[in-house]
Amino acid sequence: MPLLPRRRICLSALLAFMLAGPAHALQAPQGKVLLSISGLITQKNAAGRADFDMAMLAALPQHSFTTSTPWFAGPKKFTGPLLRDVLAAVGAQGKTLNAAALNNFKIDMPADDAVQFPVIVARLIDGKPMTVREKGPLFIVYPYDTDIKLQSTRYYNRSPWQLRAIEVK
Amino acid sequence: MTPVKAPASARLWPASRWALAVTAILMAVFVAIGWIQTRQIKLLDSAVSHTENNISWIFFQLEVEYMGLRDSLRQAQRYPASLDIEALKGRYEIFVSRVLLAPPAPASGVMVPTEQQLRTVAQTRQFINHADAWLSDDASAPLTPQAVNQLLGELQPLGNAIHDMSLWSLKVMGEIIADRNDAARRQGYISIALNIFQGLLTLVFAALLIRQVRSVEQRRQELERARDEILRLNGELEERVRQRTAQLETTNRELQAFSYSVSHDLRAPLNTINGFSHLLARAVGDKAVAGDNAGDKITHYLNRIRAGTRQMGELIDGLLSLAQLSRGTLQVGDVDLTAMTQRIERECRERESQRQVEVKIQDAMRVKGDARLLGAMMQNLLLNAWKFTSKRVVARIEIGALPSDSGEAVYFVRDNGAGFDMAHAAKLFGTFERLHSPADFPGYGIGLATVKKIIEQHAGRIWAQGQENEGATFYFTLGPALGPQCMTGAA
Repeated sequence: MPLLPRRRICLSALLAFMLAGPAHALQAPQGKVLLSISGLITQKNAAGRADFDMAMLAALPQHSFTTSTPWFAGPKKFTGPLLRDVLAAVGAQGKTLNAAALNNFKIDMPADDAVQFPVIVARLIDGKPMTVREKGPLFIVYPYDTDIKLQSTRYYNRSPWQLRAIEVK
Repeated sequence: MTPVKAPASARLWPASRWALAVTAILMAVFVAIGWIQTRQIKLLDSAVSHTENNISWIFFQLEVEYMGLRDSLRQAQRYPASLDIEALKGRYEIFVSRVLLAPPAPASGVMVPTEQQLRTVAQTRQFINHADAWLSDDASAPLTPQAVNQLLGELQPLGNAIHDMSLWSLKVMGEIIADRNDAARRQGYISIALNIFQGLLTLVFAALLIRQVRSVEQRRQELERARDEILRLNGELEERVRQRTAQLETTNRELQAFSYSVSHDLRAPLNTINGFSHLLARAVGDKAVAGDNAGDKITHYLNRIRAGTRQMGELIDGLLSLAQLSRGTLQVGDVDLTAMTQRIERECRERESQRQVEVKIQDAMRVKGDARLLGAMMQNLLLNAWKFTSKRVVARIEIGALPSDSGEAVYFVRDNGAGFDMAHAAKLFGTFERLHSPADFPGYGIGLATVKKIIEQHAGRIWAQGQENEGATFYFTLGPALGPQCMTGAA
């Protein structure tokens, strides 16, 4: 998967895909729920939301890239599903994503970011699962090294760690 | 009009130099503005540094998570039965993740934690080391009420220090923001001042440019006016010259016509006098008897009359030829000056065969000019020499050309005759001017005037050198276009 940012033209393709809905209905999580997506979504597997456990996230197509970040010394390799794939899996239709961390720290990010950049919901760092102490278990990571624009507070703030939930608005 | 002296400063600093100086200052101002703006960007960059690197934010989160964990432990202490160990462990892990963000050692940068704060962080880490035995993901020991009591006992004393740390970071953050605002305001003021200065300089620059352009325009107009004036004066001058020339030509023509008609009209009565004096002489001669005193007197008077009419006739001839010189145009052709001079010499010898005269004529003197006029000229010059050497036992006359580097040939006629006083040289070529008495040397003062006229018509020059009783030399040139065809040998 190329790390280059996608062009806006992808957005229409994604929206078309989102409106068409996923090929199959969302399964219920078997393990501990790590990520809950609520709001403007069409696919749900719980009351008003879609829950994901690690296995469900691992079942989505996995992507990896290595990038420098402000949180770790030196470049790290991050692995996980693309945010756009996760959003597609729940049939997200909003323009804004409100991401909440384990401590209920919340940030807003444009849904378009998921189309423009290969943003991933990282679940592995250097091939290993991330503990809560290591800012895990989930971490939204942009490919900061591919674009100088991404190396800014604006995008660092859109990268919540200890990700727990996303509300699509 | 005396030129106005420019002030010293204006001489030292002309407008162009001022413009240069203003340009240099403007450049410096631009650089200064650029530098300040770069500084402002850097200031902004540091002001919006990432929150995760911001100790204030970390300490705030640390305090929040500390309180969350403390509340959870208090719940566990109060209601051990409803303890959710997983939720507690989750709360603990989040707290630990925040503690790990806190700087373990003195950090560099804008917010340097105090030793007290570093001690607090170290104590918190010690607590974690201890608590991991019960609360970490891979904890082995069961969380008994005693353990909860013990953990609370260790955690609660940290509360004030963590709270102070949070407050301190907020206060420092506020100070930093205030400092940055002050710096930004200062730089803003400097920037405004520089902008105003730059604006003023630009105005000065524009003024200088306008002045320069105006002065150039003014100078251009002055030049134009001067040129127009010169053209006007030139036109006027040309017109005046044209008018004068026309006047002169008219006058000249009238004079020539007058002189010619006078000469002609004088001849008729003269011929009459001459003719009748001949007749009278014959009539008297027939009747005169020897010893008749009255008859002798009559014969003498008649001779005087005839001599007078002859002289007058010659005078009229001279005047006629002088007048004729002014008429008509030059008939320029090749002239053999040597042969011409030799012919004139022969004529002279034939006329006065008894005289001892050595004549030396240079060979191969060929010139371009009017043969008729040049002949008259050479005849006058040679006759002049012939005449003024008449009192010499052995007369010497030399005609030749001087070698010349400039290409202009100088011819000369030299004699060892009566010569003249150089003080009167200027009068030599004047019409009717004579330096000798007619009793000594006959003549009317027309010959050299004629020569000068001919030379001038050939665009040449004539001058003379002489000494009384030593001889005279007449030099002449013919105009550059009418110069020698070839120059051979020296005089």
